[in-house]
Amino acid sequence: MQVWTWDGWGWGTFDIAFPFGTSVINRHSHCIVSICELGGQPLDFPFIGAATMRVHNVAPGDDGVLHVRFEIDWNNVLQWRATFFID
Amino acid sequence: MAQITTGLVGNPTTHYSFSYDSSLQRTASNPTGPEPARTNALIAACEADFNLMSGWFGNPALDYNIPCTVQVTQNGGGASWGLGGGKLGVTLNPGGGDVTMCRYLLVAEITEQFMREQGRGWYGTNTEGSEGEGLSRFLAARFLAINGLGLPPAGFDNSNAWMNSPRNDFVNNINKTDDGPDAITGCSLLFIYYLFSQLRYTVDQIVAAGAPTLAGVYNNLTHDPGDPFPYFKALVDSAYPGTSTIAGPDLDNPFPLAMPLQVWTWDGWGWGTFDIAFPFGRSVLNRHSHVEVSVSELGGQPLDYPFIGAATMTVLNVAPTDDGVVHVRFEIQWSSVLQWRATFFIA
Repeated sequence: MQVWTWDGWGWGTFDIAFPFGTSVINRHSHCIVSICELGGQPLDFPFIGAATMRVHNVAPGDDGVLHVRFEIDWNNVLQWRATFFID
Repeated sequence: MAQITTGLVGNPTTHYSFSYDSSLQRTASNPTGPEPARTNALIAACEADFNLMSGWFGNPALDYNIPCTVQVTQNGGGASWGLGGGKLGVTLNPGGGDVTMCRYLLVAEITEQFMREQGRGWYGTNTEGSEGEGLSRFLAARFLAINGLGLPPAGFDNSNAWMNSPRNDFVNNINKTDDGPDAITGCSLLFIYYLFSQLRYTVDQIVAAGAPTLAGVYNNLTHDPGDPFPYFKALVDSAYPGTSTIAGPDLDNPFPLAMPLQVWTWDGWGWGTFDIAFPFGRSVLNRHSHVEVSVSELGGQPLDYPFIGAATMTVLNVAPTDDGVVHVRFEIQWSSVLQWRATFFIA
């Protein structure tokens, strides 16, 4: 099993394609994902604020890309961190 | 025997004035003597090595007169220095070691001068102390690595002195007068490697984060105000249980290590959208831990049977923090309290 984190910016409902590579995943890989907000200085401290964050669809592909749909219930951009367990 | 300078070329340099023991001079009666060739090779390299060290410490002003004296003896066992009246004297005891050994020893000694001059806490009381000894050994090893000169000489490893001990906390408990190879300085060295190879801070960052304790160095680097020792020790213990030691090839640095996957469950009551703080502890996780959570309803007798009923349960935000707490936001779509079970994977 591998563990990864990936940081990004966003709000609303949006899809992200995470290019892990074909040496990491294919369409039969087992992937679970969590998400949280980031804050602090440096911008590296997970916390739970007023914005609710959700992980929806999680779809690994044979091209080594993991497609994830997130929902961040906020009306402007926030920094998030996604954590991945991949087996 | 006497210290001599016969055959030395380019001596003194800007920062060093070298001599060697006359018994080491190659002569007709001593055809295998390493001098003056070995010290001449040291002279050729020493100023570049000095600049490397000075750069690590932000080029502080020197608090002793230059050039300092460096005496190469016929003995083995390491090196030492003495300072008085603004005069620094360094003694190198390389035994039969080559010029790389001499450079390694000189770097280990001079970095201790930079610690004192930097004044941020690395240096102890009238000597480098356990924290500074760990840093000097780390920096001397980095000097070797940066110059493609391999690992520290045999017998100069120190981390295993702590590994093969009760593994007490010398991250918070510094000995300001201990500069010998032992479990205390071994803990210091290993923790500095943890900062470098596990947490990925650079040499410059680590040196600049100097503090009176290694926990303070960690606090300065990470901005985590808490105690780093529990997680550090748990990580080392997970890979090297008991008093087992690092087999190498680098006997001082086993990092990076992967924290073994841990699974936990936690039961509770709730409904609607709510946040829970799960206090796993600082030996289990920090803000860089990887955490996944699922939730299900519980029923049956005893109340221990996960099932899916009419209530939809969702895990929302999952935020691990440096105090060993995982904050989780749940949503349970129901109008009255329900029993739930959360399952955690932590790595």
